[in-house]
Order: sequence, then structure tokens, then C-alpha cells
Amino acid sequence: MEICPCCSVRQTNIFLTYISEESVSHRSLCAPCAEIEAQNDPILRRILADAPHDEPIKVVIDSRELQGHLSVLDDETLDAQAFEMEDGAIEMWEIGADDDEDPFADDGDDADFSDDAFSEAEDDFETEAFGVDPFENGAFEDDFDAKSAVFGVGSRHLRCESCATTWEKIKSDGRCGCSQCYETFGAQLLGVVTRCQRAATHVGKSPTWENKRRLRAQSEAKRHANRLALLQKRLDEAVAAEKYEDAAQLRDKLKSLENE
Amino acid sequence: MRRGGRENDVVLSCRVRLARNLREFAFPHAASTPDLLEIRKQTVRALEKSASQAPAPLVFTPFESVPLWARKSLIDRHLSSRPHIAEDTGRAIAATDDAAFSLLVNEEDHLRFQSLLPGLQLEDAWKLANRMDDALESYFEPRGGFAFSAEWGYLTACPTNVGTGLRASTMLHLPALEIAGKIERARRYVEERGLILRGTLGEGSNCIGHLHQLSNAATLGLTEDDVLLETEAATLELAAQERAAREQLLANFETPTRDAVGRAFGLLRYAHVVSYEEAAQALSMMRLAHEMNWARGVPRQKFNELSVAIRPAFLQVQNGAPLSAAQRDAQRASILRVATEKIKLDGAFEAGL
Repeated sequence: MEICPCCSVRQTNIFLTYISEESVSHRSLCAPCAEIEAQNDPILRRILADAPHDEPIKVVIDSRELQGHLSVLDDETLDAQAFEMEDGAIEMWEIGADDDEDPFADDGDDADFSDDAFSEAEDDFETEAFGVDPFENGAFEDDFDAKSAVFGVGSRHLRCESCATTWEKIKSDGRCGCSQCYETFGAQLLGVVTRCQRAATHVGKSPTWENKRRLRAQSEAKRHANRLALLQKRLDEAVAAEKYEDAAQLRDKLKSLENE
Repeated sequence: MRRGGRENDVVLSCRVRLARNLREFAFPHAASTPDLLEIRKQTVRALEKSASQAPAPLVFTPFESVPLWARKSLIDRHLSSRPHIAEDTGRAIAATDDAAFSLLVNEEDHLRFQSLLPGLQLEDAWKLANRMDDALESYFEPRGGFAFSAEWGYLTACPTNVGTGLRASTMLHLPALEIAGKIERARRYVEERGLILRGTLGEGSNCIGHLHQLSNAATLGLTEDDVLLETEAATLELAAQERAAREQLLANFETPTRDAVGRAFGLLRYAHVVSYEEAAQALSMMRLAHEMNWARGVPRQKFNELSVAIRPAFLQVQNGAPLSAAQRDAQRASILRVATEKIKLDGAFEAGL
């Protein structure tokens, strides 16, 4: 057991594994911090709603499939889990885990993952804790590429729909094929950019249309907030005046507006 | 020691470059020939519509109309790159006569706005490039627009340019730091501040005639102002270091320095066959002598002009036809003899110490 990195107070008992197209990462949190995290993560929210309280659980969130798995850990697997987390499995396949200065240097092996990371992940993924092998339950039926994708190999086969450039080509050229590549290979490029740039988000000049869009979004958000505040005020007044029918209507309106 | 208001005793020139791409087309290296030609055609129209924003009339040169040996002079003038001039299809440059503004078409990115000004005036160079960027953006916006995302900023072929697409650089004359063996220290200094010190002709080039190019490394995660201020601050610091090194050179090594200057003058003034590197090295020493008030008769600007005029491709363009290496070396020596005719060294050179 370790201390939750989020609150630095409670012990962790929720072990999260995030799987995306090109990477797998781990985090462990305490239950209250996981609840907070879940507010921004619908998949996690759904899973935690079904989770038993006060028991250590393992959650695997697969953002490619927009789904997650939940398993309750017994003491033995829990120890193994904690050991694995301490082992620093967190950065497993971040692109460019190698320290080479050239962001595009190809050091001969698959830069996306090391053999160790691969076998560790395989163990992790197929651990008895799941009870099922995710590759035999039909989710990735004899689809080798999908299986590879789980372990980061998928990025090798990823191809830009617009210009047909592959990640391999981008790595060897040091150049993207078209502007669409930044969407297709966003996660991979993030690895490159974090090593050769100051930060991963643009903060400079924008084209006029982007400035206009931002202004519109700002005024839209302001308008939305005003309408919410107005409805809330009317709701409070209705409750105060004991006009419960009106209040119920207003509450429904408020809810639907909040969800917009 | 003379100091220009804009640091031009050390800073020869400054440059701002903005990389932009058209959303509708693949980046130049991946684009088809019809696309490359279409991009160029649209750019010509955009420039026609934006003519009022240009600082001076732009001359548009499609590369198909200029032979490779002549295109090489664009590198000599610090206007283009080897990969750009190596191709001709759909490639082009539009530039003002003094190169204060130029636009490269289908280099690594579809459009590269450049402003090249003497001395340290990055802010003015930025304003110039930025104004043309605005003008062309408003032309292209209803036609697909520039490739931009809120997260990544301006999208460029190479992720090392993504974001602002801005490269700010200064050309520094650092003979004293080089002679004192302090260039590596200067390089570490700028690298710690997120900048790079490169060779004379930019990326991957050697350093010739003690000329070094200083530029920002990052283009994403910082604003244009950050880039300009950081580059300017590092430029000022290196200029101060160079001046201190010149003082030391004068205080501790006057005789060997005068010896080097005297030999350089002899070469420039009387040689009849001079290679480019030899000439660049000698010119560098003469420039140093000028900054130390040992040489009079030729203004500072003349040294800038000469450092380009002696470049191999530039010589051939001036000649109007290709020259053999031997012809170039003779031509170069002739230009230098004429240019240094008016230089007068101080009395110490004549009398001896």
C-alpha cells in the first residue's frame, strides 16, 4: 500500500490502468480522490458507481473502446499490484522514453516500447485478476493489429487518412506529411514535442478566424452562465414562495440547461 | 571601441522567419506536382492582393526560370536553404530588393515569411513579417486558410517549428571569443536559455570568418514576444562577452593580434588568387581591426556586403555566367583588392613596436 499521490494523506486502494491507442499507463489513487477524478471521466464514473466500497479494486480503462473493466483484488494480487506500481511502470511506453537528443533518432528497436515493458504489460493485462483473457473474449477477434495496438505496436501501422504517411515515415523523415498528421499521430508527436519544445500547448498568435471563434465561445459561455444564474434565482424564489409546481419545472429546465 | 546603437559592432544582421502552411494541401515534400504549382499560383495572387502591405515592391522568381548555379546565391545571401534551391518545380521566392522582406514558396513549409535587417532590430523584423502574415492570412482564409489548431498552433512539416512557426536569429561576429577558446562556453550559455548557436549558414553548417548564428530552439509553448525577448537578451549577452574578450585581446595579446590583422590586410590588398574561406577569415580580421580603431577608410557596412560578395555563387551571379573555381578565386581577389584600396591602418602597423 502506498500513499495517494493526489491528496498525500490516504492510502491508495484503486489501481487504474489507462490504455489508449499507443500507450498504457498506471496510476493508483485513494477512493475519494478517484471519485474526484471520475467527475471528469465518464468511463471511470460509470465503473466506480458499480464498485464495492472500501475494497481495493483494479480498473482498466480502454479509451479506444470507450469502456472499462473492474476487478476486485484479493490480498495476494494486491501485493503484486503494489510491487508493480513501485517498479515505476508508469512511463512504460511513452514515446521517446529513450534519452537520445535527436527526437527522431531511431535506435534500432521499436522506440515505442522496450521488451521489458512489453512482457510486463502482457503479464499485467492477462493477469488472473481479470479472469478472462481480453484477446480471447471476442473483443479483438483474430485481429492482430488490434492486439498490437494495445501494446503500442499499433502506431507503427497507423497511417494518415489524408496523405497516407505512416509513423515510421515521419520518424525517418522528421517531417509530417500534412496538417491532418497532427491529429492522426497526435499522441506520438506529443512525445517528440515534449522533448524538443518548451511546452505542449500553443500560446502565441492565432489566425483571425480562431480569435473570432474564441470570442464567440467566450460570449456563449457567459450567456450560458447568465441563464443558469437567472433560472437558479427564479427557482430559489419559487421555493421560497412555496410554488412547488413552478419550482419543479424550473429545476427540470435548469438541469437540461446544465447538461447542454 | 565603436559601438553602434544597434549592437552592430558584433551583430551583423537579424532575421525573423514565420512558417505557415495551407490547410488544403499536403506539406511540400509530400505534395503532388499539380498541388505545388497550385500553391505557388495562389501565393502569387495573394501577394498581388497584399502588395500595399509590403515594405517595397516584391520581385517574384519561380525557380524554373533560374538555373541551379544561380539559385545557390540565395544561400549566399542567407535567403534560402539547400533543400529548397535543389528543387525547382513549384518552388519560388518573392523578395524586396534589399531582402528586408522575402517569402519562400514550397520550401519545407508552403510559406515562409522572412525579414532580414542589419544590426539588432528583431522587433522591427517581426513587425514586418507579421504584417505580411496577416495580409496573406486574410487572403487565404476564405480559401481554406492556414493550417492551425488551437492545441498545436500553426502546423508545420517539422514538429520542431510547430506552434508560433517563429525562428528569430542574429548573425554574430565573434572573433575574440573564438580566439580565446570561449565559444563552447558561449554555446552552453545560450543552450541553457533555450537557444542554439549554429554555423555561418545556419543548420548543419560550419563556422566561417568567425560568424555564428544564434536562434531560438523552441516554437511551441511560448509566445512570439518570449522568443524575441529571449533571443535579444542572449544576443546582448554574447555581444557583451565578445566585447570583453576583445578588450582582453587588446590588453594581453596585442602583438599577435596585430600580426594577424597585418597579414589579413596583405592578403586582401595584394593577393591575386584567394579561396572563399581564406578571404572570409581575412575579412573577419579586418572587421575586428575596424572595431578596434586600427583600420579606417571603409565603413562597417562594406564588410557585410563583402562577406556576401565573395561567396562562390554570388560571384557567378554578378558575372552573369558560371565560373570555374580558378576564375572565381581570381575574381574574388580582384574584388577584394579594389574594396580594400581605401583602408588605412594606424601608425603602429607602419613603425613597428
